[in-house]
Amino acid sequence: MNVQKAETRVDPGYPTKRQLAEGAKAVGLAALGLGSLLAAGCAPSRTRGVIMPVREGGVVAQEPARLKGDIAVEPKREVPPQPLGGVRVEPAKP
Amino acid sequence: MNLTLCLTHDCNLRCAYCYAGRKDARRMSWETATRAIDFAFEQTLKRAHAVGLPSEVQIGYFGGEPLLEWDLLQRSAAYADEAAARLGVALTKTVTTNASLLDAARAEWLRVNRFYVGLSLDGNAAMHDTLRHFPDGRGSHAVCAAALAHYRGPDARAEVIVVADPRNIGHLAESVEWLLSRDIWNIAVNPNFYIGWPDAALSEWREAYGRIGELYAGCYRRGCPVRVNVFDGKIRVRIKEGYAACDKCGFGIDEVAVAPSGNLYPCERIVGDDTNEALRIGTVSDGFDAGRRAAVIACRGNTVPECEGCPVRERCMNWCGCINYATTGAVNRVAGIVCFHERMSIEAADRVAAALFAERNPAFLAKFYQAALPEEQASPMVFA
Repeated sequence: MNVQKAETRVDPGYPTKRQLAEGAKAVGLAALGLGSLLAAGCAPSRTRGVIMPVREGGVVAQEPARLKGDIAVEPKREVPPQPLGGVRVEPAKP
Repeated sequence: MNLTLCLTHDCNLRCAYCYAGRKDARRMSWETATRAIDFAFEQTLKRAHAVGLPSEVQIGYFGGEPLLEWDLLQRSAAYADEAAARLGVALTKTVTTNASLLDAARAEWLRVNRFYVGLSLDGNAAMHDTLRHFPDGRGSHAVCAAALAHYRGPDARAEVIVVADPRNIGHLAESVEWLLSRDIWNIAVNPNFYIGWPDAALSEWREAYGRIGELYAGCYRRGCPVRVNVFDGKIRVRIKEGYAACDKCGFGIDEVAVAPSGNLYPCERIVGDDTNEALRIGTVSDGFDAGRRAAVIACRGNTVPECEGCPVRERCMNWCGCINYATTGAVNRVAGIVCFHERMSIEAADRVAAALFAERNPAFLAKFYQAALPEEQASPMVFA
């Protein structure tokens, strides 16, 4: 089996984050603040490596960036950047 | 750093598709485990200081079957917790297990100690027992599936890993349905790319993804935003317009696997029998071998010319070094079977996502778009 180019696709039928922001602007929802989120998509922040922060007992739990043995790596979920001095990701305490 | 500790080469199962090498009694010593953990923290802090990144370590327990070394796992996890607290480093712990030794007490210990658990379980008995056997040939489903009871519902910090293989592909969709019916919300379908896929199996695979897409959409329509990795991943990467550099694994850079002997490799999938000289990048005793490591890192990426200009290239996993190496013998050359899978999963994911978006499905919008918008703006009118 050989590598093959995918068929050209016009539109998958659901918007990207950027398209959503542009659409929102078009209907008058200004200042969505998406610019900072787009920039934060790969920015070094304490959310790096986190797919889904979950608050349990006052501790922000981290999901692994990749589970061992799992090859289908997901992109990191876009989460709003936490403010400086915000919730600290703490190591688990037994 | 993302550190994998392969605690042992041994396993109590003999799964037909296992890539972890021969099963024998070689196990990791306490000294090797603690040296490896120290090494991970040292490297992480060094890198954090150098480039201003926050300090994070992920330690994953792997094997063989890591729960065969339960005492070592517990002691070394406590050692890592202490180091993380002392050094101010965020720590994530994971374990990937075949679940056969995961009783209620161990599941509770993992929960209390904040492990994220991967259960290697292929789904229903028909699928699982095709390839996941005890050494005497008995199927392991009845024993392994009992552990699912500890990981039901949306809040379970666990995922069930289902391996799709041409020999069990006919049961894939019904297996996902079986898991969903048991309140398992997090399912990872991992293809076995290390084997030839006949045309008939490829057709079954495509049909299975279509059926799984229907099941996935059905869950969202009932208000249950389950995760199936091949769908979630491709939808998310479409929404963010391609994998970012930090989404890709740090093969040899900040991703390191430790064999029971203490040898270092760029990925746990490379450890195998611990005899791969070409991809051994150091030892826990002596640290990285700078020359070997640089050579591995230099090979990362994908250089297949046919991929140039492919419209879904940015959504494709062609950069996965361990899969490329296993399938083509080169870290930087993607295989046709991976190309097939990526195109197929993108098509299936887009079909489902387009339908759910067109319906303005609340669970879908909340999961995939809410985080992209400030809270006060993430109202239904944005999606009108």
